[in-house]
Amino acid sequence: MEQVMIDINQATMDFRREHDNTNSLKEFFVKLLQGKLHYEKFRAVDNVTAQIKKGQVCGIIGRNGAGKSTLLKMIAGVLKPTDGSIRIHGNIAPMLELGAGFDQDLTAKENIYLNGAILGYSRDFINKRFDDIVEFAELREFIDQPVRTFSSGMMMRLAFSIATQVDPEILIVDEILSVGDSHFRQKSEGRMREMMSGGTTVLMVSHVLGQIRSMCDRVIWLDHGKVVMDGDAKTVCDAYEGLIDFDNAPKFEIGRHMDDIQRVNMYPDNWLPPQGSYKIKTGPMGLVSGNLRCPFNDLTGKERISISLDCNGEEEPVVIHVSEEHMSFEIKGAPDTVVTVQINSNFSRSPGQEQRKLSLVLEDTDGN
Amino acid sequence: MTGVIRAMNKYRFLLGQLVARDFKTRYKRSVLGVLWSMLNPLLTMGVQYLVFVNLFRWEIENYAVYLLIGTVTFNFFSEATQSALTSITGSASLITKVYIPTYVFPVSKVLSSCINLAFSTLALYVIILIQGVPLNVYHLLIPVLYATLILFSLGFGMILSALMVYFRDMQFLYGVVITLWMYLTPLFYPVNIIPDNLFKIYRLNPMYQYVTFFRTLVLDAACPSLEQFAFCVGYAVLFMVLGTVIFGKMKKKFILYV
Repeated sequence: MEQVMIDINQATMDFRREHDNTNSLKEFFVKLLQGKLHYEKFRAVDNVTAQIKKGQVCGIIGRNGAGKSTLLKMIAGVLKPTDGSIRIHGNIAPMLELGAGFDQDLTAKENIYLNGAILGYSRDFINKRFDDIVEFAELREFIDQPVRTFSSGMMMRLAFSIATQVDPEILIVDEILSVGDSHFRQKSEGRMREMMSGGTTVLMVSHVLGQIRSMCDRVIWLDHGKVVMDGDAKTVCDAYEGLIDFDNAPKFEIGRHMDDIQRVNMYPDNWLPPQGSYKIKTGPMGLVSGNLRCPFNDLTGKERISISLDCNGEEEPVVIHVSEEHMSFEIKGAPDTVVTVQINSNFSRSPGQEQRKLSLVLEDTDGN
Repeated sequence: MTGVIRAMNKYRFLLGQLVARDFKTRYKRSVLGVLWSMLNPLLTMGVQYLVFVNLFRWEIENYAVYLLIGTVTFNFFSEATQSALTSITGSASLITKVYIPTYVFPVSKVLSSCINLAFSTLALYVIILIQGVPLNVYHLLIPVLYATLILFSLGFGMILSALMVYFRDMQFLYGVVITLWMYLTPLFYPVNIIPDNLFKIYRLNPMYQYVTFFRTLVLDAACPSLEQFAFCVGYAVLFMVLGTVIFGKMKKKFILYV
């Protein structure tokens, strides 16, 4: 069995909205007295579940603010999830921000030691790699200059060379492949590929889809903190590129009642019903049924659908039936409890057809 | 507490680098450089000496040494706690990007102040020799005094740094507090001007205890009383415990606020 290196289990990260921050005593007491000391929450990462296996090169894509960097920071251990858990198996080298902690007044040499220490290197390790770092950054003649005299390109080159000295089992990369001029960029991409080869598990964020397509074998697409799609690089990138206009995109609707309906974005060409896990409360009989509502009236018979389920809850819920033909399923669990259903489904139809709304409705079948 | 010790051990190299960074950058662009670490307490002492000897005419034996002991001790405390105060908020850019145990920051600031303390102690000995105050065997207790003073300052600084993350007013508030505290500590005036009935409270001031302990060793050439030991060690232990507990409780949410 393949070894899971990063196990993300329903991870959620909440932040408090900035404008509600209380940064002074006076403000704090005024608000305390007024009883206004509650905060508006902002959910940056919402119930994300994924397992990254050994040797996988996994890309994360999504618009600005989709929660990509927050997720990486959680994996790197900088942020602790508000809910859920993230487990790491193996030593990890997070390259989130290059040159964190560079001191402008120190020389390049001094900064190599300082930045190395911040990244967790030992003195011996830096001593051993010192020449490599300087050589790779091509800064031999400036080594005793304070970095405030450096151009931003020189600074990034130095930071990149320090950060890429390690030989990690898990590598986390946030947008750092585009450093310096084209010559150095080629060199750094070579170094990245070198680090990624040989069974290293890689998780990378990039806005350059070309890079993602060529380097990753799996891509997770995030939007508003949720996983929209998780699959092989080509499929997900194609879907992502075909659908930048999210607001007008068709959506899935899941839920028992109007108020717990969950919406999931759809993408054309390779229609996918909801992926991921959903919580549904069972009725007095403990039954839950799911229906993929497909309001197409132009079905050609070439559409294919597959559904697989994985349920969790009290008394181990049982899947009674899954009908791919009727796009429905039924589950029996303990009465009046919450059942978690992990849905993996796939729906494809021939391209070029009109886009329609598809919906999945989960409901209890006890008659209320 | 064990968390601090473990972090200190694992991150010793990082601590060393951070302290070295503080030390190197502090005087990097000044002409006299590291000499300022010695000149500063000496010049402050000089000014106070001129003012108090000529204006107030207090009759204190070896007044220059009396003054300098107060200045060196209190300056260390004030510098250590004030730099610890902003240590977390000042490292926001690091904390949000790299995983580093946050204990490292106040500890590194207090350690940086220790380097200054070493230099100003040198200055103190220069004055002791010039003034002809005889050296005595009790000087050997100075490391004990320094250890307790440093632990007290560290514990206190950790509390301040944690509070600072949530209430930025701390930094201005503490500026006032430290000035008041300075006047409540017998740095330049004799202790006997404090009325007897107030002295019971006055002596609870930890800095009074540390300064007096120091003077007992150097000026009285005597071993401090058991009570003095108890106060110095007691405050160090108390504030280290308080500091690690409060800091430990509050650090979990630092990242959401810095």
